[in-house]
Amino acid sequence: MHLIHGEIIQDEQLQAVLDNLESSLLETLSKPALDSDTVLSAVSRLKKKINQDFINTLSALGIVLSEEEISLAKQLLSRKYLKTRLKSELPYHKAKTVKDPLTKLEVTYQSVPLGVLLHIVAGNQFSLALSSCLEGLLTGNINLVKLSSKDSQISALILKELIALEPLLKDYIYVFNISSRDSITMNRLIALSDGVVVYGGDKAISSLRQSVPVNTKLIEWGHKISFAYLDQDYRDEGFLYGLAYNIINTRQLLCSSCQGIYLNTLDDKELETFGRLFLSILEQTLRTQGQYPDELVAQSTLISYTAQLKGKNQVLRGEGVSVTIAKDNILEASLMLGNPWVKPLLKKDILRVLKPCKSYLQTVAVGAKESRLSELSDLFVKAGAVRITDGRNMSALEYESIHDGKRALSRYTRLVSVRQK
Amino acid sequence: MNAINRLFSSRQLYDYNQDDPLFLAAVKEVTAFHLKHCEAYQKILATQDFALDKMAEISQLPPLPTLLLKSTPLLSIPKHRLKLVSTTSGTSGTPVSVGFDWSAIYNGQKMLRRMLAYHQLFSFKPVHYLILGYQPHKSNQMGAARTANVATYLAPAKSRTYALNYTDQGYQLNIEGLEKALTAFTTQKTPVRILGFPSYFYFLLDYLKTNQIHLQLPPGSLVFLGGGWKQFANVAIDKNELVALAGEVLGLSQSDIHEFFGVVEHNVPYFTCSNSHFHIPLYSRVIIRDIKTLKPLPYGQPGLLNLITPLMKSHPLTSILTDDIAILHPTTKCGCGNPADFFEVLRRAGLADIKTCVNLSADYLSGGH
Repeated sequence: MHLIHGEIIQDEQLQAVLDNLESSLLETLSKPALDSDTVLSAVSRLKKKINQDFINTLSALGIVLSEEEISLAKQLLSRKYLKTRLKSELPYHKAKTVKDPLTKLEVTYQSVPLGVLLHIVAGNQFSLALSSCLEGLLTGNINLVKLSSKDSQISALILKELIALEPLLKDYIYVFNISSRDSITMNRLIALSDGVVVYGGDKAISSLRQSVPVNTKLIEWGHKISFAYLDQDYRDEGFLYGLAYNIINTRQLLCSSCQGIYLNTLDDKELETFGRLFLSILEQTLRTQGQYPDELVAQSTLISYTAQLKGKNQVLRGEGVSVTIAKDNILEASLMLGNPWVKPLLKKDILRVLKPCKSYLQTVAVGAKESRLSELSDLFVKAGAVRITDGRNMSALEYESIHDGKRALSRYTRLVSVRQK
Repeated sequence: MNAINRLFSSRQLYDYNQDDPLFLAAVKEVTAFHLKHCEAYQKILATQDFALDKMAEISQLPPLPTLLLKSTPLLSIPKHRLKLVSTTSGTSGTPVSVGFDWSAIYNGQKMLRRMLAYHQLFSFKPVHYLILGYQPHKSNQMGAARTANVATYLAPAKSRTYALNYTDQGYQLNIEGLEKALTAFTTQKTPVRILGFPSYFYFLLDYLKTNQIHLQLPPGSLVFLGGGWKQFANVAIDKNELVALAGEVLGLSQSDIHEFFGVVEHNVPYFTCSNSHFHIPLYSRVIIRDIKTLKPLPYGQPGLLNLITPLMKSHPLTSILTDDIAILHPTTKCGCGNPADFFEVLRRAGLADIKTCVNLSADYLSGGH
């Protein structure tokens, strides 16, 4: 299923669309640029559609969102948030004419779209496809969204709804449900694009590096890992419940979700004592605030039980959650779905252990006394982290939206100057 | 005779005592064998503080999740002695290979013969087979392909038509071939047997209905569905709807539609009764376990499906924990006359393909960095 000019089409019709795509794109590009206000108002209307009916439709498709995710989606679509981003990420989003202090000439500076963006989203991440396309629209680009062939089609349906709310967008959104292995179609789409935006693991990114021509901008959004660090003796309950909240409510599936907790110790006993304490906090949080459907609880239990049977690490299993006590200090993803790890990491080893993973570090929740906080935070920033916060806010949206240390909107535009006089 | 052979020689099939000491004895016997011959299994059970001499109930034997078997192949006999190796489809991850040892082949055949006879699935009358699955080919060792093909020996085959034909370009869907074959069969007296996945059967019925093709299959025709509903979980197929559609398009009734449940890692087959229920034969036991604690649950409560049989000596698959969520019912809830308890599979654990930035970055981090 593909979405072309606001209409759903099937595979049989795809070839004809591809044959005409270049002329369609050129025609759209020759028209006046897409105004961000048009996009903002369409998105505000779309936001109103996130109601119980919508959530039910998603869960019928096997996509069960937590309250945290729903509120995050609403914030992402809010006019206030998007306007702030435009303003802070693109100072010349509205054209500004200035007298240039160096040349003394009057010039107009403006951020202009790259033109045609191809968004390549791996796996079944419909929210990523949507937010990426939205960023492309806000910057005035034409968006070719390549979904995984496994996609549940929900992204195409939501974008179709967006076009229904604002028909002007129909020439700016194309959705293709094709396999990355279909290299002929992929290369045709790449050849028509000015920028290729890729989300994915190292494999996906390095294979694209091979096929994207040098004169096309490749915009990579690699994968990230987030975690917490607890200083000696720092066991603040509020902080720990905040971490448990993040772990349970994001299901450890986001780049910003806490995967595990490093303790500033090498003492095995201390690791285990902390593991047991945190397990009880996780259990309580799942009971009181978790909204896991039975299928997820069962999967989480199977995952932690399997890890326990493998016997590599000590796995403390609670009701529907677990804590894995590891003796190594390697940064890694957890078992997810409420199953974090606890590992030893002395303060003096932070840079040595984490710096080699610098491009993978994202959010670190640092738990320490006020007097030690800035010193520790500084170490994590030096190691490569892009955000330091507390447990509860690891996945909270910040207006500067620097989730990977880079800003999307500026990557999707070019800054140009045009001489006036 | 040892307990395992005695169990598989029993002719009671469904009329047995749930707490029969022979079953426990057979499970203990096979567990002792695996503990002796598979060091990895020994280590696995040690993580659960399992002691064979203290085992008083089968539920105490730690079940192995199919998830574990995907990453940890376990063998209790030398690899070259494995016979009839089948592979899972790998719908949810890495495929798992399971082979039989000689005693399992011997006992398994006895079991299968008795069960097929009981369910009247044997016939000497030749039939046309329509296989809604893969045409056998040496490149394909999937358990489902093999089961479907083996099932074509339950009655002599006059012809076999496959939904997925093996061609130079790999497997190709052959829907027109199926339609043509079905239309031709309706003019003959030879019964038709349709075998395969429920979802494929649904797609076939849907295709016929969309193309306004209504047929009446010859008397004695039947449908034999197996392999689970997992491929197309997003197409919610209601069983009653499927039966109604089969009636409308092919002239079949509910009693013509048989279902089979089996997992490669377990190897005891389950066949539906006249009320479409999977009763449990004496060769196995079913325990439903709590989704949070894995403790056994009473009748009527949904939980993870744990299947137990002492059949296999090749791999320690005595007690396996599937990722199906199921319910165990007493026979009184069925009323078909079969005295054994039955189970009902509700859905699978987990949600469709969770691939996120985190587990993909794990690909990198586990790569030795």
